[in-house]
Amino acid sequence: MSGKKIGSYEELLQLSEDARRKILVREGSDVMVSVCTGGPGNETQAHEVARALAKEIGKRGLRARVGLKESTGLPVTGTVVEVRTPRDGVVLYGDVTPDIVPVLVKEHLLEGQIVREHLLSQSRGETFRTGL
Amino acid sequence: MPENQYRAHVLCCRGTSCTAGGSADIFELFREEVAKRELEGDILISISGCHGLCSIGPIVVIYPEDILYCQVEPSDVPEIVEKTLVRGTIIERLLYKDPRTAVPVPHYHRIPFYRRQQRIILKNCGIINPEKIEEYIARGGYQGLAKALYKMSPEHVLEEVKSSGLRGRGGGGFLTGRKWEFTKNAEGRPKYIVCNADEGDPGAFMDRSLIEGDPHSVIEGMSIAAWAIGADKGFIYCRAEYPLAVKRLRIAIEQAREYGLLGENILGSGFDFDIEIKEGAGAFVCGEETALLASMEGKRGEPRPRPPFPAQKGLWGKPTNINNVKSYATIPQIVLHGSDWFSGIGTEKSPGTAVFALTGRVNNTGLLEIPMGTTLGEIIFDIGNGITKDRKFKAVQTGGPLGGCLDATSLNLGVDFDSLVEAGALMGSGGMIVVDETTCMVEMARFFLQFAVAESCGQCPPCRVGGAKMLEILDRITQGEGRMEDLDLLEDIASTMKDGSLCALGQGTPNPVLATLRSFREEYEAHILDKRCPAGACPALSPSPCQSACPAEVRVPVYISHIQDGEIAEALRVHRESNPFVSVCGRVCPAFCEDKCRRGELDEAVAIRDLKRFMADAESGDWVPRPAEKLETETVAVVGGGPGGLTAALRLGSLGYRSTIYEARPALGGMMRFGIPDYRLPKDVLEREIESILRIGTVDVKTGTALGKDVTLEDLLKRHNAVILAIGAQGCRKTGIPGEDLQGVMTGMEFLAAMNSGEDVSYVKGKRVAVIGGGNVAMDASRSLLRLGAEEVHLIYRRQRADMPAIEEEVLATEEEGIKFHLGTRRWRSRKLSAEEERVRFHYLVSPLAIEGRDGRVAELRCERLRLTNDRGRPEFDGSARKRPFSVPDSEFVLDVDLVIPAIGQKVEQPSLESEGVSLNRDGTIIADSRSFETSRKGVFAIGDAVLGPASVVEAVGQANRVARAVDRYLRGLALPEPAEFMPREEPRRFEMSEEDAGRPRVKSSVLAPEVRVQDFREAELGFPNAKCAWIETKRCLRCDLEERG
Repeated sequence: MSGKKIGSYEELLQLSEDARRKILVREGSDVMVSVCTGGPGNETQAHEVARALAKEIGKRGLRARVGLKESTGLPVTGTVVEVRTPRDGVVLYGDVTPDIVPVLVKEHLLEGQIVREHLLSQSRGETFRTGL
Repeated sequence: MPENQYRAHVLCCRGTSCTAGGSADIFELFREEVAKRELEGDILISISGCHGLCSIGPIVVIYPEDILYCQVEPSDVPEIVEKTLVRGTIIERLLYKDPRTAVPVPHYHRIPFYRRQQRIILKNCGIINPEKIEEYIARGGYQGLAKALYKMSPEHVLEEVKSSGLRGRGGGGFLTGRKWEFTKNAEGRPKYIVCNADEGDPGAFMDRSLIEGDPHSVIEGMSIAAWAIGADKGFIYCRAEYPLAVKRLRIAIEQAREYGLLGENILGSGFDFDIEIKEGAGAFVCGEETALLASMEGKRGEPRPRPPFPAQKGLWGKPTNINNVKSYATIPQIVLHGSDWFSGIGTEKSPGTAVFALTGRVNNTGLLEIPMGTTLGEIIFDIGNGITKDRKFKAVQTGGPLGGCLDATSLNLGVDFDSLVEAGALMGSGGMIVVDETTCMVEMARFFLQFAVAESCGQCPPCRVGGAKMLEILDRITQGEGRMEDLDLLEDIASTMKDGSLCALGQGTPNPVLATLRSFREEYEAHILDKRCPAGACPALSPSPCQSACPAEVRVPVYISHIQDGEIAEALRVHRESNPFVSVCGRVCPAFCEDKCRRGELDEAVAIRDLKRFMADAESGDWVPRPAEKLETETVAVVGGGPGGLTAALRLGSLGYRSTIYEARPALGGMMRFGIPDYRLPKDVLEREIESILRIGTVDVKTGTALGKDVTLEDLLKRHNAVILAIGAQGCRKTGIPGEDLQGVMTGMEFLAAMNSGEDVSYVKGKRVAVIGGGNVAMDASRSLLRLGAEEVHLIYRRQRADMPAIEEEVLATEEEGIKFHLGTRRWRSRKLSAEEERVRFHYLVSPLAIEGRDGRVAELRCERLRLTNDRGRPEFDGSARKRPFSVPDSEFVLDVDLVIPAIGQKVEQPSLESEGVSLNRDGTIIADSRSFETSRKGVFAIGDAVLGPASVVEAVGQANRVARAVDRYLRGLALPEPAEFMPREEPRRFEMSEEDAGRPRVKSSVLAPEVRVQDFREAELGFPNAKCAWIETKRCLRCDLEERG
């Protein structure tokens, strides 16, 4: 098992950084992305979106968390994703598919741009509470 | 890295407590369920260490939603997966609920228990998987060690620890840096690092939880210590009774070696250090460092005299540094964040945080970490969320069996090493056991002593002989066989043990006894002199908790069993042996018996008061008490015709003495007649009860004869052979605010007495009234005012609702009646108050400032708001263990009222007594011996409210029973007080309860709906609707009195 041995300070810091990403989910964050689970038939799609979101956010090392939320959304809007950030308040996107997740993450979470094509609503008024 | 993609993490607590609750199965079930739904790639199922709130385990935490589910059963797992992990909904049933308000708290970190904590030592507990080193490293683990090895010299590390001011967390509080320095400078090699994980106090589980939840922090701390001191070998001495802790340590050590964090050339720095686990056999004394070392060397675990200290001559005669688990776990944080950061937390002399295992009678029990200097009150009432069942706080035992207990006067004490020692307790390793009024302090001291005696190694005589001797004495006292000399003897032995014992075990063994003797001496005296256990906990002195709790010592389980058998007459006879006021007490008794009822620990107390009322109502025919066959020539004057005076006269009759009751008012009954409104106690019920007592035929009654006005004590002593003063507390305390002399201000008692003696009080109709106070008189006044047609009643109380001295049922009834109801609904019990509907407004945390008048009449009441924290935002506690109110600046407001009724307590008003040779206390109560009831004047005895201050009917009755016997002994020339006797008790026998009765809920009595009863003074509580209900309720009694003793 000598392959695991940490040989220097820098190696430890690197390992810590990598390991931290894996349990980042357990730390609090003020950026929360919630995928709404719709009616019975819609769950698979919601989970696919959630999976894609988690992967994309993990890849980019963002501080956002991906949660699930029982939906009140309409069937016409497909899978609904709610993004809460301190800057933009609560933004609802409709008709989200795993394909557009990278766009959503890049534009909204990374660059702070609302993705207009999928926007359902935005509310800045809601008091924001951090998770932890 | 595939793990990166987990959307959610489910952490099943695998601390000892949750594991015992079945969390291993829960963990496996989660894996299966998640696999079934093909979510393994999305959801990580993992384990964690202890979260601290062990009482609500098994705990499951779900991230990132931060949901905490408690008391999870394996059968809940599919539901959690389906609802929360698949659909994203929260299952309310499984959430943590505030024990007081039952409001669910969905988010883990918003639970009040955690909000006031500051977690440094426990920062990873419950968050990481303790069996995965990567998760520890992810949280900054081993960076302290890396920093020490790469950026700091050993001297620099030592300097940092020294200047942090860290003190040994094992309880001694010795400066850790100094200890390290001694070992470092000691001659000889090799040097050893030892971790003391021999935690053995009953009720303490800090070290265990820490090792189980975050074992690497201890390893890292020890490695840093080794670097600073120059050691290359470490040992963790952990008791074999902690198998899970040992297992986690083994895994952790193995993983640390794999990663090159233990062993040779750590982190490539050239530093070598390794750790070995030594399992102890579980002897408490091995927590003492020299005994621990002896045990590690394979010798008997016995302490040896110091010096030489282990720092000079430790393990195998080599310099050895021994620290507690928590001390080592703190080190990485200090190295990483610097000594200034650490010394900025806590108090100046005790920096950092303290970990406590809070157990006993608090709502939130568990493991907590707080900055040093947090007060005991904040720990118990804010983090611990107060005492269970809203009982009264009695004491807290800190420092385990060798510590001491502190009473309510210490609640403002900031907890640190020095303050606790100064107060007579110990920090110890951090056990904190809270006890309430149901705990006997003598029994508690005996329990801890028993533990310490069993754990004594037997080496030195003071500990071996002294401990056993003290235990023998305490055994005797709890059996009711104690002598007053025993108390001095206990103190004497204790001081010998303290001076002469070799180690902390022997020196500390007497601590609980000394501490309880200091704060609760009167409990020891009650055991010895009265053969009574005030808490009702010592089996030899207390036949049942209810009987012990009753001031008149009514044999509750016996009469309840007679009711069950349909023998109402016999049940009444048993009750009247101790208390003749069956009907009265069946309606207005505060029911101390129900507070202590053991059934209440399971679900709800047996409805003892309702059963009492049932048997009184079911009585056929009149009760005729029988006097003694031969009457003596001596006679006794009884001053006051209240419950105390009437009972005393009755008991004197059965002992063979004629008596005369002198009553100042025109009718008998005292407070029962003039203090209690008709809707609680109808006058005809009271009349019947008084009539039947007078049927004994030995009692003359002189009403309208006031002591000090119509007759003097001197006269009475000439006419009679003895005098019993049962004059009650008639006066009302003043608020002392300006404007009390205005027209429209009258005290609560004046108002009730005027109303109950038939005076015209119709002037309150349509008026707005402010009632000041939170006691029963305030409630009685408010409810009566509503019935008399007052427009609005404002109840002004300076504390919170839970602090009100009034009986809970009375407060509830007042709230109910204060609402204007829409007729046609009967669902009033569950209805919440809404401001528009209120006719009685409760103003909590408000204090009156002044009564303003117009033309000599009350016009308005000026008040200010109060809060329960001081200007630094922290609570302070008073002697009654309640938070002290502080005024809120600029919060004055005005209530427009026409009448003000202060009801803030009664007092004794009989100034003439002092001139007749009867000494009074400063508050006006009569000074009387608590056992013989003799006053300072020969032949004059005193009982009831006049001695106790405002109390209850049953307390006056209890004293009256005893004063009659005392007067009898006095008249027969026998010594006072009478020798104590054991309480009568039943023969133990087998008692079985059916499953059905065991699960039966308390039977509710009938109550008139508030919108009906508030219309007039008809009786509001109606008792059990029928005999069947009473019969069913009797079957809920657990018959504690039949229990086998010994």
